[in-house]
Amino acid sequence: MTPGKQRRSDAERSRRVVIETGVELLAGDPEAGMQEVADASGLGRTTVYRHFPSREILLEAVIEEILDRSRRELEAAVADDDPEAAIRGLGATSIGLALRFGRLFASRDETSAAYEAFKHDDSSPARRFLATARGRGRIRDDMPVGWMRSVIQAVTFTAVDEIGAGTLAEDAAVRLAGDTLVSILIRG
Amino acid sequence: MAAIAEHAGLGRSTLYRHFPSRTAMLDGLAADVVGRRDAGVEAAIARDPDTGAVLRALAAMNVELGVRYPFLFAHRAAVRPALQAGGDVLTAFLAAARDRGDVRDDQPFRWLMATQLAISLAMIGEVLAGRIAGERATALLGETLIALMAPRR
Repeated sequence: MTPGKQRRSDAERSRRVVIETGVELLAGDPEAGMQEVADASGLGRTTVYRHFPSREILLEAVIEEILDRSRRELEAAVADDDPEAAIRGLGATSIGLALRFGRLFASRDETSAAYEAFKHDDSSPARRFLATARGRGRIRDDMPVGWMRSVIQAVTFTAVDEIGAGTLAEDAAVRLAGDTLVSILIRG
Repeated sequence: MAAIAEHAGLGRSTLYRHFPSRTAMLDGLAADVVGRRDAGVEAAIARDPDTGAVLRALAAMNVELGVRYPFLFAHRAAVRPALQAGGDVLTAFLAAARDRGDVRDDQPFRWLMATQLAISLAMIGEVLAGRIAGERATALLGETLIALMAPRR
């Protein structure tokens, strides 16, 4: 490897470390600052600022990373050929994502805007799954796909709310959400 | 608050006497809307006590009230406890329907109540955002609430 390539791959690696540290930290504490990210990443302030000149720019990269991970996890959830298993998987994955990242997305306007765009993204795994399964008659066909997605979000939100209130354990909430979504989206 | 006082033709001090804070006012408005919905549920039960018919009527009222009071939707997180706490007529009706076997009894009642509220708020959001038209929204929400509550076959 030439010295130039080596430097670039080192830079790429430290950029990844900063983003991943940012995801972990900001998911738990949306107000965490650059110094905390620098400390937790073990890279030092100068390196962090070289990659991300401001907290806003880092936050943008962190959000993009979280949405990428979300897309991948949802994609895996709907890969099941059985529509009922796929719908339960969608519910469970959405609840898991909301528990991990919900605080960050609820915390600020700019993160909520990115989340809103994600929710209504036509190419999202959930939407593509619903459209395909509906077209093949494997889920009910008398509800618009956009509404089915909203129902999934509403049920996810309720589950997360009940878990937060301590009235349901996470596994019980996931099971209830799955039952409810199957009842609404498949059986009708 | 000042804008509301002016709009209502009241002095600021009168408004503040009744509602010492914005939160208190929002809670008061939410309680008022829940009361109207309950009155509507009561009328619907008198017209036709069939569970499906009452759920369709509930859907129609939720959409209508949601569209008429968009600020409640905008502050849905703040007024959620007030929305959840109210509605004795609706709660009693659904609990009785559950005892009769017309509403599923394999899930906690609290879960059914919380999901029907969240799903209704989601539909209000769809209508306010212009993604689903009002009449279609009422029918669709009715079908969704029926599927939510129906006993498992």
